[in-house]
Amino acid sequence: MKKYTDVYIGVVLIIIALIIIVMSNPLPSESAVFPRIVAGIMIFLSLILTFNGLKSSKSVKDESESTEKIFMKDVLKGAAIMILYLVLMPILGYFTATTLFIVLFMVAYNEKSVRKILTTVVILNVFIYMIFVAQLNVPLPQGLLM
Amino acid sequence: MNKKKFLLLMVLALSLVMMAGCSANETEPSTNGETASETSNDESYPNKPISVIIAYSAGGNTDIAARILLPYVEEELGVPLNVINKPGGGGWTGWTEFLNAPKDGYTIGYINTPNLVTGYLNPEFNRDNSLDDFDLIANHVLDYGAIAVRADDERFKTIDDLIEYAKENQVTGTTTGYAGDDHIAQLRLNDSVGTDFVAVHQAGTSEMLAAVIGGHVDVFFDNVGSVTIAQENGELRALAVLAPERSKFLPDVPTLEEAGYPAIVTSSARGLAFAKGVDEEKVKIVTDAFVKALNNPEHIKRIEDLGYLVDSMSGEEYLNFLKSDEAGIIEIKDVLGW
Amino acid sequence: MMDMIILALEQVFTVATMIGLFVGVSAGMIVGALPGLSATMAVALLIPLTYSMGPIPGLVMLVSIYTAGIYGGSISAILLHTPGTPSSAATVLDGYEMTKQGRGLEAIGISTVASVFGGVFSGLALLFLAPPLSTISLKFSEPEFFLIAVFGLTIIASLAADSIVKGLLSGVFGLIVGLIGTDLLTGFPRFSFGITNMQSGISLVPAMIGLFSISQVLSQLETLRIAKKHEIGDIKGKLIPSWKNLKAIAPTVLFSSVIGLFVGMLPGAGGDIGSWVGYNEAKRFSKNPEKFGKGCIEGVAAPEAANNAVTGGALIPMFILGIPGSAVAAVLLGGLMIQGLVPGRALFTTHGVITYSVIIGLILANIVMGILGLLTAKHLIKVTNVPVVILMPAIVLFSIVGSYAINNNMFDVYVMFAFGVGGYLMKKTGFHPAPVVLAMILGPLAEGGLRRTLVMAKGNVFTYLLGRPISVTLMILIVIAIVSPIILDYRKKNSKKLKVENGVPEE
Repeated sequence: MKKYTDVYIGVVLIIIALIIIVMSNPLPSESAVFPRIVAGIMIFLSLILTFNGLKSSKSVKDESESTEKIFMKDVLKGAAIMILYLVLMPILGYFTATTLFIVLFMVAYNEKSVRKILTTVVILNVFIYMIFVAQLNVPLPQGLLM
Repeated sequence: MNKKKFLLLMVLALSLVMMAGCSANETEPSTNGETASETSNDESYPNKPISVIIAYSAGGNTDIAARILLPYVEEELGVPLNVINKPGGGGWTGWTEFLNAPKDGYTIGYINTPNLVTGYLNPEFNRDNSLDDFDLIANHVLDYGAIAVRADDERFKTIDDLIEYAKENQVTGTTTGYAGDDHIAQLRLNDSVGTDFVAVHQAGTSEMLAAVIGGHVDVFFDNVGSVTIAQENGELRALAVLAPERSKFLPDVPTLEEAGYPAIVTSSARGLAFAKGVDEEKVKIVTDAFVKALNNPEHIKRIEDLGYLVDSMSGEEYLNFLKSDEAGIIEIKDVLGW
Repeated sequence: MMDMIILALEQVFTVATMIGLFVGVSAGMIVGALPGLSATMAVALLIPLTYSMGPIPGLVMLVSIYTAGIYGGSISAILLHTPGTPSSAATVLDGYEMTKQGRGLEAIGISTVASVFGGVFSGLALLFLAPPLSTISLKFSEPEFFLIAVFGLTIIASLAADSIVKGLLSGVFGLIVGLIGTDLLTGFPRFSFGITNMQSGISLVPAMIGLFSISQVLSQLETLRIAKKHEIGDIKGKLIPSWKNLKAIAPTVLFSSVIGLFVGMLPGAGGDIGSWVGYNEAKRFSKNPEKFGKGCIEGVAAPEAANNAVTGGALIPMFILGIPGSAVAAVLLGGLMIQGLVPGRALFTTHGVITYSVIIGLILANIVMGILGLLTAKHLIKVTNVPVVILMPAIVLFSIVGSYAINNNMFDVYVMFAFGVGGYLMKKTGFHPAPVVLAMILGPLAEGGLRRTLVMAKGNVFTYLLGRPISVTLMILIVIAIVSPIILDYRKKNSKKLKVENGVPEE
């Protein structure tokens, strides 16, 4: 990862710990004890982390991690599709949103075979329907469509 | 393709097996959570399934009692009653959802006191609900408070022993949580009699039982149901019930009032209601059906086998009961810190 | 008691019960193997199905699902690097390494044997030792829970050998998440931002599913484009463990089973914790701890024996005291009570036949699941051939349904996703997801335990604690746990120094 990552994380964690301490103030004293202790530990450890991060980024390190290439774009794509799926589920209903999700996902990763996409959609939807709706009465989110 | 065929086969096989299992049962409050496609015709209400929202998890006390009752109500109403468990938020996840459901008469909910009441009286939660948000149907189970100690505890043979001791010494008592009915009982006792009960808040009856039986906590504050069972098992000795009259499950145990102390009554009650705004006609139809089912002797027996009392108050009576419960909590508002 | 057992045996070997058992084992294994669906969910959802079955077939089916579900989780943990249930998160470490080395079949074999042993072991303990064990468990109360939780938390440091600071911080993160919710002892909501769903805290299972399954999906997406289909290589290796392997894992399996049994007896701590403690302790006492994480069979045997041993252990306090030892046991308790069976002495006397039937059913289910596992292993391996582009959405789907179905709440799904992204980011920056889970469970146990102890002590806490033999023992254990790695490390450094000074070549 980039050189100063640990430092950034350390600082962010310290800020979060401070927020926790502030949020604990309105609480009755006994409810506030543990949060404060945990926040304290967090600050202590984050300081160590930050210092270590500063120390190691000073030395010239060849941070050419693994020789394997990774594609962050693919990860972001996937995360975005999942978020879209979650947002649409209460709107469109479970099965419609799920179908959309599967199709979008497979297309986004260059699956060209319509047959494969369709089979996946059908099998997964049927499986979940049969087990969860028909058998187990799980009230999956309803929406405009299914 | 082998993998897919295999998967398909497994799915089919599994579903066949499960459908075989399912078809064996007829009495279960049935099937699907999806809304039926029939339109609700006011003339013949009810004509589609009614959802019953339970704000606690499957297998919990409320759930068990509900599942015993609902088949009898189904017979009366002629439509399926589907339980939907929506636990969380001390009950408020379920109650919020229930209050927001369409007021077409097809959603009812179980309300539990005192959790419902403390949930909106506690200023920390910023809720401006009240009993007025509900159109009550009827109460189902009423579990009055009870006080017990370990069966072989030499110090407390009667409630007098306990109270006298507690006036001079700090005594630990179990509760199911801050401002729960057990806690309220302890606080009201401290307030009116001068005892020094200190609450050890735990998550549920089972932990509380273990704590008292194991000798870690002095007194078991809970409800008649659990005290009865523990006494039968020889684990606890019941000292008093916090009820207007003696419990049929603990006939030898005096009420606080009988023993000469202020008439403190606490209870854990579970009943049903509509969210306010449903047609009066519909409320009446459902209430009648429930009252009939509640009074069904078979149903009563099954509930009593679990140690619970069926008290099918409805209408005014139910409302007054809830209001007096609320009043008891408001009484100790300052002690609670509200 | 023996006559009860004989009567129970008659009940178990009836058609209805046997069907319940087989359906339970199969359903359990499938649910367990599917990432995202957990044993807790399966048991919870299938309870209504048991209403119409008699108590014995119904309850036997439920415990079968429980133990088979816990076992099933190892299958996807080993083959797909995604734990099928949270209890198999530790199995991923060495299990997947073995799969990468083409030894996936061998790993499944080890996991099966270990799981069956753990399950049968705890079942027998339940059968013969339940009353005395539960008398012991009555002596445990809040002070002991607090100390045990602290002991469990000390494991966090050793889980993150490379960067202790990051491992501890991961644990701290878990502690904070555990703080969210309504404080039971004061009625005050903490860190809930006014959201009702947050007022009961963050649900554990969705968080774990997100942390392990969704984060894994995101990791896989990194190389999806260039994923080689048969990266796993030819599956060589034999399924049934060789005699040599069996001897090698025997002490580990036994030790882990004992650990699992005791963790199971603790209220609230289930297979999720049991597997990590089992893994950790196996590593701690191993002669070659460096092997762990690189595909050593003990690394698979330990967590799997432990998590199945938890099943029987969790049922001990459940039957005797009505205190469930794990989340699934809590659900099972409901299933018991609906049948009119109330925990306590009566279960072993009046209803003895039912109780013993269920216990025997549990033992049998373990054997059946072992056989089923071994028989189907060769087919299960084929899962690794499913194209990643189909597998990933499938895992997401099941994770979502698995998280939703527990409380019928979309909020849990959001939690799952948030923890999924969080878990992924943690892995990318050198943090560890496992301590988060440990801390989420043990943190509240520790805080609640301590605060209640303060009330119970009615004054001086230290004298109170010193007067409790179990507490004293635990305190000593905690000190040993913290101090011993330091001492061992010091002695290793010293002996190295001596050897260098004396001219002995370094090993």
